[in-house]
Amino acid sequence: MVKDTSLSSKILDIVIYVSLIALMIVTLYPVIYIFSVSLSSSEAYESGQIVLLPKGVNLGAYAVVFKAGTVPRAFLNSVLYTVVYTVLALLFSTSMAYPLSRSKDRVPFKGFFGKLVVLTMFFSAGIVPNYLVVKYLGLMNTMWALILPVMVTTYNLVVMRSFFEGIPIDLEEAAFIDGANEIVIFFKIMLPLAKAALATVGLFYAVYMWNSWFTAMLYIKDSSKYPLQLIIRQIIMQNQMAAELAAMGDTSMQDALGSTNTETVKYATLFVSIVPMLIVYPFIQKYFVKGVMVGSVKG
Amino acid sequence: MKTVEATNAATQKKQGWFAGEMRKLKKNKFLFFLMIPGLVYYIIFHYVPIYGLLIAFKDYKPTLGVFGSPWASNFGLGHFIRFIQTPDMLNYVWNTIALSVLHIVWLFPLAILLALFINELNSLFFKKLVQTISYLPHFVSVAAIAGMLTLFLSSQGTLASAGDFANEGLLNQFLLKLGIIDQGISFLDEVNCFRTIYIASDVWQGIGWSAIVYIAALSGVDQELYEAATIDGASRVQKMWHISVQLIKPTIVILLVMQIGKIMSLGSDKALLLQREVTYQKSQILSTYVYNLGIGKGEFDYSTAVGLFNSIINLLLVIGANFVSKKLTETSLW
Amino acid sequence: MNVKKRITGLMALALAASSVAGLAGCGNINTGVSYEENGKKIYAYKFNMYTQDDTKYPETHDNAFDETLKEKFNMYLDYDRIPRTDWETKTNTYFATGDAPDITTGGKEPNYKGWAEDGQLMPVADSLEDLKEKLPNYVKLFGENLEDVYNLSASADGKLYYLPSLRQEKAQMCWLYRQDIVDPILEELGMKEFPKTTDEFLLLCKTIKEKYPDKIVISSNGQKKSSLTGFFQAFGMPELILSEYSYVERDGSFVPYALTTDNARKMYSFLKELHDMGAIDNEILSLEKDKFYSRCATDNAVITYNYVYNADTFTSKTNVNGKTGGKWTYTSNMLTNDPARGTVFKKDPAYSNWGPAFATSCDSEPGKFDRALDLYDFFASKAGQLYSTYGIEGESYNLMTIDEYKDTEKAKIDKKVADGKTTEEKAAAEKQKIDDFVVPEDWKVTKDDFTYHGRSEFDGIVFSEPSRELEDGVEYVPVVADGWYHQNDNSKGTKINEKLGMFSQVFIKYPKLFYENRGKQIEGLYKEFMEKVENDNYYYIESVPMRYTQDEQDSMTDLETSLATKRDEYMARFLLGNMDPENDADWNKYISDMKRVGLEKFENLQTTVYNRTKADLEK
Repeated sequence: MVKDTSLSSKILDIVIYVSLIALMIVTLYPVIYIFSVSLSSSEAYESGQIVLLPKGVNLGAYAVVFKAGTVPRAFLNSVLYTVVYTVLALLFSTSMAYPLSRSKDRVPFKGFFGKLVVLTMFFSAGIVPNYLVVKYLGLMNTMWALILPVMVTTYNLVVMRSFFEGIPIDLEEAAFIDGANEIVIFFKIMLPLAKAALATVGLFYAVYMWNSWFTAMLYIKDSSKYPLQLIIRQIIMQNQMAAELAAMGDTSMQDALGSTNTETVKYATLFVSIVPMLIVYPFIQKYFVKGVMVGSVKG
Repeated sequence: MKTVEATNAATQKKQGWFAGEMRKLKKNKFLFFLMIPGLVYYIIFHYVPIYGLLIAFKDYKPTLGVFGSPWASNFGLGHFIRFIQTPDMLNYVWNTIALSVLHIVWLFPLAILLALFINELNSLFFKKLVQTISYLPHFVSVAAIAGMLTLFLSSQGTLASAGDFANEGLLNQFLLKLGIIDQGISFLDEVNCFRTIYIASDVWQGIGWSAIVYIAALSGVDQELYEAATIDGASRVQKMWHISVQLIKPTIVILLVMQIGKIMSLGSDKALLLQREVTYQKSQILSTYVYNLGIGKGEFDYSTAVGLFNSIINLLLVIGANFVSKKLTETSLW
Repeated sequence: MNVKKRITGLMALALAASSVAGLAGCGNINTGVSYEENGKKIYAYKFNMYTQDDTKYPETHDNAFDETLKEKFNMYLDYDRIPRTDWETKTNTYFATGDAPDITTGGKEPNYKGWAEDGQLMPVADSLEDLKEKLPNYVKLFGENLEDVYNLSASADGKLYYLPSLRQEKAQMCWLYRQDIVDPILEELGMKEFPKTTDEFLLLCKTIKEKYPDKIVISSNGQKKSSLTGFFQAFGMPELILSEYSYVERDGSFVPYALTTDNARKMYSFLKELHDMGAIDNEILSLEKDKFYSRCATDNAVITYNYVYNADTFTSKTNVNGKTGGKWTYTSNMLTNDPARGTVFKKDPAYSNWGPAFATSCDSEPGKFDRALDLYDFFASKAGQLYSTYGIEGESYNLMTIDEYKDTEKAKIDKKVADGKTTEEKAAAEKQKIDDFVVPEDWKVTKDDFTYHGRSEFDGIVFSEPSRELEDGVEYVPVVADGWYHQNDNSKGTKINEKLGMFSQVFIKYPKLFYENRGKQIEGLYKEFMEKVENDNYYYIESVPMRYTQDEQDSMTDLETSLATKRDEYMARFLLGNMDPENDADWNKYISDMKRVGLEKFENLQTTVYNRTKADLEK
């Protein structure tokens, strides 16, 4: 690449670096804050002493989190659900997005199917019928109840489709001329070119499953199968709920008020839930590096 | 006679369409085969349950089932009428639209800008660092974000003359020390601050995450294009605009159109956590209203009706947006 | 070739996925279906269990409770534990999909009434007489209040569709204050005690604020809007006016919507005055519990309307890390703006409007429903209370004669002396107290109480065999075994209690344990209030029974949501000084806005329902 050394380029560099560093500070702050609170004593938190760094450092909150027994197990559950889901969802989405991205002349029923898919973004049937479908398929209280109903997300499908559409048509035509058939083109040319897309959509799916709790709340009965986010939600929501109930005159909750988890425990749980995503991202990133695609074509 | 001919032509065209598609199918079995798992999924999990939308027009009694339940009052439109007749409904609709639009107006361009900036970086290490850090807040739950905002923005009304601001939230401490304000302000209790707080925290939390898709799209750009432009004497800003932006334009447009399709269905989670009684005038949105009304009370028929109403408006908006985008950029959602 | 392999792989994977999905679904089919075990029929129930904190309880069936249940009642409960955060969504979905659990716990009267109307619930009793016959021990809990409880909780058809819970607290809320700050000021102002009128209160707050400008004179109690309940009462309104809207005045007149009356206007003016002098918490409408604790920890709050037993909690919160903070105390003095009318306090009703309900699926086989009722009746009996509170005799608790009990208490004091934790002198005084202590009647257990006497079929069930030979005519007291509350205690009894902790809303805490926990303070406050009823013109406002039809209920829901939103919006404006309730223009704007969102319609509806219900009940 030719190096641009003009003044305007330097100014642009300054603008970019300054704004990105500012952004990093601003976005990193809450995460550090959560981490600091989770390491601090609850007195330090309650008296509002924590600004950035932990005060009265101790690992008590983490001890509570891991002693409860439910958190480590839920953590493993979440990992399992996320991995299985991401693999299957990518499989289903890719296989559907690719044909929908090809020319109308080649794909049977493309227009019809395309509309069929997009329409689902607007009309969701609601909790009751979805529950009944899951129940009749016998998926209740299994991980498939969390995975199958969301196997393809239209949003991700569309993102994937537009990635495939962005792949220059001449590559395909050249392959046709060389005598390749559809199957070869899909596996030998398109899939390798779509690595960045697969990484992006895969990440979207993984994060979606990692963060989801609602279906688990509805369909999972055994707490040994709970995903982490459901547990976190329960831990975080407790205070709020107690206040709402008290407003309705429900003082029976007072008993529980004394036993709610301290803020430091909440934050420790929260931090535990962020860690896996911290680890995963760098692995995904390598697919976002400029020029990957060009390289693979040339090779 | 003419009408008959027209109908014939239409049927023929229809048959022609079907026959044409079947011909394609014979030629391209593989592409069709690829779509089958996805289609089966869509039929089972999206089109089978769609009958459930019927309860929007019914007085749903679980013991009678969806089909057995009696029709709602006013020829089945009872729930819709109840919804439209809600006092202040227009206000809630307006608040919802305002927040959604502001969300798009701010988050969209900023996320694209972030992607473009990251794309300009030469240092691979710095590039990865910025990406990783900026995307982290996405994983912090809304409840925690709201908790932190409450902490940072709170105030007990300390006067600037007091000299000790330990009881104030961080932002107030800062402003008081700099002498910008005379007395601590509880920002969450200011009706005019609600939208700013809501959107700013949205951007804060979502910018890195939203940029990912553009970063991925930009990674597909052929380096030769940039080099060719450099030789032609284009400045970096020009290259950003003429090459990078143009190449991710279809992605931008598609995402924008989809975003427009969500305008009416802004979720209640965050608004519920950030709203205070005193800001209801601007913070009460459709979803919080319905929530307060009690999805918890199990009024599935009514909430389905409200959802359906929103969906139809969303759909109309998307059709409009898609039409415009087709005309202007030749990009279409379908 | 390679490609073909990949396709086959892909197909195989999809197939495998779907078959696993199919198989995995099988495990769950037999829930709630009765079965035979060792030649005995076991009734199985899908049991929707409301839990306080789901993360704490391990899920097991191998505990003494489940075993005994099978053995004595032929019952097996298939637990579906639902934390309170998700209770509404999950249970509503179950009912809406026709998947209602056999037994639901944690629901409230309004939930149940809807499902009952839809024909999804079994009536527990058709009439009060029927209830007495079916649940002989349960009805005893309510004593003389039984008829009122039945009338208030029955549906419009006169049938009872759930079992209301006994409420053991009789009065809990009062003013708490920092003794070390307030007492000297009271003395200075020449007041003998905590204010009784709003005027005195204003003066007190003003003086505190002048002396301690950095303190929050009236703090939120960490429960958002409910922090204001002490002020509602000061102006003659009931504590729960935020959610109940209507009440009956002392003179018998019905107020259909309290917070728009002139009286409410006076209250808002009063609050504004407090706000203007900087005495009221800026965040009184929004503060949550944890932040309130931080107020205490930073020594900032002076007065709060709160639970009586929190005086101790807050004192200990301010005394952390060797720092001596403030001393909190409570007062049974309530405020009134009109001494002639009297002073309102809150006497908690005899029951809570939530408890277990039974789905029509309980009727699927003969005996199933009766068994379920018998179980609840058992827990209402003395034997059941002992079991659910203390677990197994001889393991997690012991029965002692009253003399033995007093000796153990004294032994504890001796141990304290030996450990050097107290002086001989103090110990002697404490021992004297123990000697003088009259053990309340409802703490005592006799041999007969240890057995459950229900309907004839289930008469004479002993859930846990006593470890000692109980003698006829001797009175015993249950005493928890050492380490009972200890987390690592793994005894059977503790596990039972852990399990039953999840039912805590349904079962009754044994009076002794209740007293030892918080009952002492609550009983104390209640006694003081009742004395003031005699001497100081104190009175309490009872909830109004309202029986809505389904149509009325629907329009009520809409109206109350809209009204509450508006009301809260203006309440905050008046309170935070953005609007002035004394200014006619501002007040009229409030009233006209309330009318716009349906105030008049709401008032008419409430009045109609009130009159009708009253006539019904008089019949």
